[in-house]
Amino acid sequence: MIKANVAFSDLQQPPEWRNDALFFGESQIAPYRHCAVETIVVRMQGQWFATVRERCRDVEWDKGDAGALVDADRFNQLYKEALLWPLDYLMIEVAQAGCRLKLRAGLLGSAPVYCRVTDDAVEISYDLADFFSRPTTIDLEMASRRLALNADYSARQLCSGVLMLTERATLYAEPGKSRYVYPSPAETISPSEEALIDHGVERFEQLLHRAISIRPTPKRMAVELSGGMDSATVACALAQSHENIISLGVLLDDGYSQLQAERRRMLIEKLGLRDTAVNIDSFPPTLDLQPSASRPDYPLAEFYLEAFENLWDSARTQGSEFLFTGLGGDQLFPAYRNEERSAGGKSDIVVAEAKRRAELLLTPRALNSSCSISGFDAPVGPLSASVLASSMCQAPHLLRRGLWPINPLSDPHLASFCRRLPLQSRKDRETMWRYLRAKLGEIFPRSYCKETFAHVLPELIAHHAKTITTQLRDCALADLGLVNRDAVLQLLDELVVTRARALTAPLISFLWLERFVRQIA
Amino acid sequence: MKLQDAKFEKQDSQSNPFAIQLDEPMQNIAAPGVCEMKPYLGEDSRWYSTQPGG
Repeated sequence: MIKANVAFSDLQQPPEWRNDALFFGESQIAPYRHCAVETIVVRMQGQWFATVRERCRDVEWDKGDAGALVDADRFNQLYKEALLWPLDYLMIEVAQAGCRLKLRAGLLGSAPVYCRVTDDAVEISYDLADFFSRPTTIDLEMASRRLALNADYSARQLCSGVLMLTERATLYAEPGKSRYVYPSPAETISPSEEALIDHGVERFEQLLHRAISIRPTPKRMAVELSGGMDSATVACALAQSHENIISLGVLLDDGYSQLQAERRRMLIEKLGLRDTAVNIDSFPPTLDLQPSASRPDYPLAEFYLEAFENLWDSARTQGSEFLFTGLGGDQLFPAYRNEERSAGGKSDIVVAEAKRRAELLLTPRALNSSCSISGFDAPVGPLSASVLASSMCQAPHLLRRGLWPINPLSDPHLASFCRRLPLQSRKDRETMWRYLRAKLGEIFPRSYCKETFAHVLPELIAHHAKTITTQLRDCALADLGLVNRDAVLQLLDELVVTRARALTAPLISFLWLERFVRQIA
Repeated sequence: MKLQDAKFEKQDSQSNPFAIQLDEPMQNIAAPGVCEMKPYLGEDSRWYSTQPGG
């Protein structure tokens, strides 16, 4: 939510609000400029804090204290209120004695917080690309884990020295020192064993409505509409209380898209949406390993970023400042370990094979690194790590366009309620399915099968195999001692022949990381 | 109760449903050690005595 460059020595000076940023000495903190976000500065003698946060309709905040000097009691009270803000926030606290600074993240992960602390300064940004202008080294252990398809949601990231402030985490920094503190793990949630008469649909609807209405109503908004249940649920709830909604969709190519297109058409008609859709064939993911001078590459990115970027640009051109997504839907109705309803299923076999193939690409030392669990993962939070990681990937691209992301299915109250539902309400997303049927009729049949873009990348890789082989004459990840180049080429050849999904994930993970590493080499 | 746990407010379904850790603002005085020098070779007290020789 902010970009900041802070020299510790400047922290002795009082902050001054000027041109939508806080200035003190040569340092500045620039909050993200958007109508969804507000900044509050509270000062007392020798100490101040600034909180940059999502605007909320539910909480009254006496703005009379903003910017003025308050006494210690009032300071502590406002500090506590800021910590309990019901939406996402980032707090910066400064104690002038000792030039100390403290950063604290909220629990929603709306925008990532990257920071780099040196002996005399702190640099903060929601956009990792801001750190690429300086010479950077790669954290080889994290790169090994990424190549082995071991996803991490942790303070440690791929660029050495650049930390990510994970949800609810705190960073303390002062001249020559910094300390990172993870929060306590969230309370474990147990599902109910008692069946609910209506599968909790009424409460589900209330919480969904709250998740949408808690923020001030925007005039224009866009909603992603894939044709699946998650985004349909968000669009449906949004349409109950808003008009002028733009829907955005990436369509599967011919041969796969008929059912998806038909469901989208019905949703658009019933909800009165204005639709913009692009075909995935028109904006395929680029597989070029040469970094682009005009566009930074990220170590983790949405697979189909090109198509989504086209849609986001379109939404912005049509005046939208908010993007509602179905992110979080996949994690709302989890299966618990003792339920194990999908163990041994087809997708588990694909995942296990993908991991096995990924490990075959690694050198012995990278394999060794990838297997070690160093205990640096963020603890369990109210939201699942995969939701937070997805948000972390998308947000910089949205914020750069002036779009603020809202993921109602990632609302912690809704997530907490859905996770507690009994198995029969969670199975096949029964509660969500019933909500949609009550609102929209029979759009999603019981046998509904979620569409996937899984076939897109194997075809594309096969089409570009020769170019990829040529570009891999030099391999940055092999030069770093992490992968065996011949094993990569062998995997590529096999994928061209089989188009197997289990081979695609390790190869794409390698290609994306190879391009990222070339960019900062 | 562990000492660390004592810092956390009890979960309160109304005002703090997710048991957000309510830590206090930083101390307004500089913490001890803030101004201390890092021990460089030659400046580390293990290598020379700051006590007057006697």
